[in-house]
Amino acid sequence: MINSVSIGVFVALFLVFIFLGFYGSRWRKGDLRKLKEWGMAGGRLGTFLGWFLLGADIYTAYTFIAVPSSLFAKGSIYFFAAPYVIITYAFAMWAMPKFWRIANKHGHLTVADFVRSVFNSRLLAISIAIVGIVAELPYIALQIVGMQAVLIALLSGLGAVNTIIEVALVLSFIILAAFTWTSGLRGATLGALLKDALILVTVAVVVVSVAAVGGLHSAIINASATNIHYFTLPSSLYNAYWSLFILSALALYLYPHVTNATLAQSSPERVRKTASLLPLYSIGLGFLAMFGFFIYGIPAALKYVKLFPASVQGTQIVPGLILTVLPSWLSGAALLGIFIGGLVPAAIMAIAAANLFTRNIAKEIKPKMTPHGETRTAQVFAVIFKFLALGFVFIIPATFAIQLQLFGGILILQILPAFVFSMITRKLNKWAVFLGLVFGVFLGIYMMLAANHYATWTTTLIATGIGPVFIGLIALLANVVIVIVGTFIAKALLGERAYAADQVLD
Amino acid sequence: MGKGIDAAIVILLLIPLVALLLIPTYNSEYPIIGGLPFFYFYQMLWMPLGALLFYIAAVLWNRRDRRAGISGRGIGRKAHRGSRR
Repeated sequence: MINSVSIGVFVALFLVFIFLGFYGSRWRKGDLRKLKEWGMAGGRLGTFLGWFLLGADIYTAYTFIAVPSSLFAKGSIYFFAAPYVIITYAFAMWAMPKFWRIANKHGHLTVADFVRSVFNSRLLAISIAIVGIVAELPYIALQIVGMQAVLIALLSGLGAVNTIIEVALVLSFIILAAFTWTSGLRGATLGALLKDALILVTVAVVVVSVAAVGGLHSAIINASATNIHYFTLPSSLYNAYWSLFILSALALYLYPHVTNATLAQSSPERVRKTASLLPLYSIGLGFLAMFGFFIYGIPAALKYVKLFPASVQGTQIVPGLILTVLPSWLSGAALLGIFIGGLVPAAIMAIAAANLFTRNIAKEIKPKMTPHGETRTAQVFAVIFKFLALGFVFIIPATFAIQLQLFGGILILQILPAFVFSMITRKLNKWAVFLGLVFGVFLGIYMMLAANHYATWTTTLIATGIGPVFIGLIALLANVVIVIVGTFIAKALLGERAYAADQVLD
Repeated sequence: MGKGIDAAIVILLLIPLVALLLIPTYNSEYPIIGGLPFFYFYQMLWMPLGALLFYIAAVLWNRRDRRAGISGRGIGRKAHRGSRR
């Protein structure tokens, strides 16, 4: 259980992490007052660091907290995260080197820059930027939930549960804001190295420890005694399963923080090679997801988790296993890994959202901004976006935090036609793409509200004739239909003038 | 030669996708392998297998792109034309 040793190790390693953050601002020194330096590490990351930076996009609170939590609460359906983090890299290997080359040649730093020059449309570029920023907010909120979960575990011996939950939230937020402001993407990348090392060790040691006491076997027996489907997927959920993993796979590389990390690498060949090896990284995610039923093999951990109200119970799965099966000093280190596993990605996401805001919205309004003014704007908005993200923390019970990421996915998927289709064909009409985007976003939000009966959000599946299906699939299909039909109509009315500007792809 | 390489790349990328889409083929608790129910074991297995296939695809693909000397596009008509001598 938690004691002064684990807290001491946690604090000591946190100081090391803070040092790395500040050191990061000097490392491979660039002028941090410039946006490309603060927000993209100057675009000089090779395979190794690129791998860690992109790894930071997978090893987030999504992996440590949200997936195990929902698997514990709802069963095998949430193991969709495993095929998701395999398939997404096939998509990345195809789309990202293409994007890197075009962006590099034309000086694009964001997807909105790219869309603006392909479609020669300021309106479309601003819309893409807004959707990108809004989609990051629930994902950032998920990271805050993860950091909160760790602080709850650390403070759990101290008193009233509800007070601890609130204090943990405020602390998480302050630490996040301060960290992002000071070091930018460089500091975040160095932090990612420490985080991943701690996490990989933690996962390995927990799995071995659980297995060593016969926990895998008793987990299967005890979990089978519950009324949740843990070990097979009910056939009614097949369509939910594949729609969740395929659409999540398409969504990941559309997020501003991921395209940003992609462009921060130094060549398209490296982008592709990095992506091809990332499924290895996913092994840790798979094991962490299975902690959602492993916990049934360790009675003390299950007892710890049940101390909390159902609304936050799931978030304590991984902390609970860490606190019960690891020695105190290692549990402190492991909890720190999870804590910065929320902190670093949240910083990366806020930086990406702020970059996008500065380049594609603020500069459209105020074109004469100085380079240093740009960076300051981005820093200020990185903080503002984190405040907005906080709003999402309150509409979803922490146990269902995975819905935050899935909701972000529903939104970001809507930029797929504008971004990805336009790398394949030039024959798209900008108004059709714009209408598809807007309709897809609003349909997604509407279905989200309806599927949850206008109350707190616990699902992103909606009932259809073929069983429950991920809302992102339906919203994207509607979007694509509008893009195709709209483009045909525009072609009939305008002829060749209906199409996207075509010089950019050459 | 270009066509064969293209096909190989596409197949390498699609194998894990197909294997994971065939949900009924792996939706079973048994056999339990290495302590993991088959449903979990099978999907976990595709992580290293996927990385292996994807890595081979990446090497072929990068070599092909370099040979084609493309700058603006990945697999596509233009690149293809470039690779024919």
